[in-house]
Amino acid sequence: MADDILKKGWIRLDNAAKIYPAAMRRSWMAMFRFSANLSEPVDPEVLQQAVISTTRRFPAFSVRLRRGFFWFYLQHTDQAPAVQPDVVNPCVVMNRKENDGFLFRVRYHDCRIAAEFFHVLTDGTGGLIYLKTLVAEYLRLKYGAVIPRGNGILDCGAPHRPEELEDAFLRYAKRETLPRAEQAAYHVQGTDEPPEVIHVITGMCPVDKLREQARSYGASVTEYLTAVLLATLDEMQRRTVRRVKKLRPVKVCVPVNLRSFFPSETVRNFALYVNPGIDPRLGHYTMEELTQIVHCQMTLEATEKNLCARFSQNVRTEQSLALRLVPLSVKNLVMRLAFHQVGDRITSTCLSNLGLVRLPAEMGRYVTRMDMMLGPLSENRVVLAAISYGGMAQLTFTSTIQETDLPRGFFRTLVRQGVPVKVESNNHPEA
Amino acid sequence: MSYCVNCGVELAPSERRCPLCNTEVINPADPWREPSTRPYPKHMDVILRRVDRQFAAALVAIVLTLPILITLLCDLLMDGALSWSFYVFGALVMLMVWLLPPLAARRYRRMVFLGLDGLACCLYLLGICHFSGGDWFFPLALPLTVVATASLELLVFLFRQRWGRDLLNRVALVLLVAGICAMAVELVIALYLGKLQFIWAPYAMISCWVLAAAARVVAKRKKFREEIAKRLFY
Repeated sequence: MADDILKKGWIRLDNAAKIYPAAMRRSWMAMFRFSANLSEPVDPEVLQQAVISTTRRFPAFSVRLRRGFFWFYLQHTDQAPAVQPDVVNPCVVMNRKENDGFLFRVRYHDCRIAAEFFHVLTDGTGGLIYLKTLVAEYLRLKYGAVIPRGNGILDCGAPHRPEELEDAFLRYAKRETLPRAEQAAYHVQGTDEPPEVIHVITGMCPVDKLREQARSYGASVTEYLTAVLLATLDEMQRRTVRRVKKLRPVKVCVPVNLRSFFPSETVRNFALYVNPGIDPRLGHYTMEELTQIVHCQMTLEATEKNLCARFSQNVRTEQSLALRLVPLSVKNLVMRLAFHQVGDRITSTCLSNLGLVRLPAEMGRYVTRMDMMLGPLSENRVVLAAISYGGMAQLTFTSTIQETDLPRGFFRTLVRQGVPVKVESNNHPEA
Repeated sequence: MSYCVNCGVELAPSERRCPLCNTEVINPADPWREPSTRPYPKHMDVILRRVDRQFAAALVAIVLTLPILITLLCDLLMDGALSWSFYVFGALVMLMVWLLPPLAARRYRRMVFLGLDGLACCLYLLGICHFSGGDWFFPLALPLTVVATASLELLVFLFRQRWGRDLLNRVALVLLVAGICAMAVELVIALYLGKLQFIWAPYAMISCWVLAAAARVVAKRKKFREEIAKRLFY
């Protein structure tokens, strides 16, 4: 079925992707972005050629979203999107008409190449594979660089493999399921900006310092960053909610790459979430306690059996005849309601850590920096994405509210704990 | 290389102010200069607003004005005076009052719009009363419209309160106000008929208030709510 896309010209949405078209609004869609800074300014014409050949290698990306009677589907096209100059508000909702119907866009600014994806297409791992392949292709076309393919860089001259297009959720789903419902969590409050305004604050810090600090608590970098986020969110909630009884759970949504548990080469969605958190009504937590709680929750929840049971629930729902026979317009309403119940509502923010990116030396000499950015979520207006490259971790907050309490508290905690942070934003001085 | 004195973070050369706390960078040794390239360009991607509310308001106004004019013209040409066309004309004007202000206004002022809706309804009923030669407007239609509008205004006000955002509290409030409304409606009708007695309203009010009290009790008891949610989980 995975190879259907070229034979039939269309492909079904994967299990995780089904919710996103139903949940998207005029002013919001689930977006994320990867970018790579090169040592020299980007040549848009060469970049366009690179986008064409890279997109040809990723047939699951050269698609347009179409409405069927029962489900959305992805219609394959041989074209590729036109590259666009970068903007001050990355990850803003995509005008699919202007983007020629494509569900991702490639942007450039000075020395940076960025790719923004609608989550219907892929998850962070798939997006990173696309960007790495695109940059490799650009370097080949521009400088004649000979970059070895493999390790997340695909060969644009080779045909695609069916396993890259599989819906891995279906392959690994089992009978055993776990319910998705969780208690609603605290949400960061603030003054809403218009939907097109997105604040970006990137903190850059040395990976070794961050790792050293995490190890001092006996935790991984993701667990440590989650604990710092929880501490900041807890403090923010206590400032606004006076009565202890009224305090809501503080939880952070941490995406987990399922490929680490269930071997798959898919470039489509194959990720799930773990929501470590605390109940602030029980009292104040120290950083040691927080890191321990996060570590234990992650260890317990991010297991093969638990994750499998959770995504199997989604697969079972998708496969239920009653739901399949409902027309799309009705299904959209139901899915929107489900998204509202089990989506962002149950977490306070999101931390997506793609971890350490390694590039071949032939490519690394041209790439000076890599960034990841999450688009604001439906209800959580401040989110964090992290990626490490060349010894530096880039921690990027994206927000649609004016207040900067969460990034401020987060980076101040890091600085207090001895991790030097350098910040950069998309603010313009006269703004 | 400048640092924010508040946050302790190093600021990238592009930052004139700390993006975290908005403190201005004042470094006499290294005054801020606009860098040749900024991390992000100035250009902003604008979201296309598919529904232009003011355009929609203009469209609705045109669509409703056409039948108003045609009806008025027909009536005047046929009868030489305003008679039957008032019912159509009045209804369409009332519809315009209901639709246009919420579409055209920059801010959605629900209380003001509800007040306008009530006023439009009153005027239309007054017109019907006048053209049909009745005397029911002041003793019957006006108080009933005022009661309905005031109840809706009260509910909107209460829903905006912090505790009024909870679904069960909202149900309790609706039932509470519905009970009061039932009494007010029967009182107005009784006064109009000249017999001051309550027949059905007390039963309706008591039922509504008992249900409202039950909803409020359930709303307050978190464990009970969770138990219900658990039992009714689907």
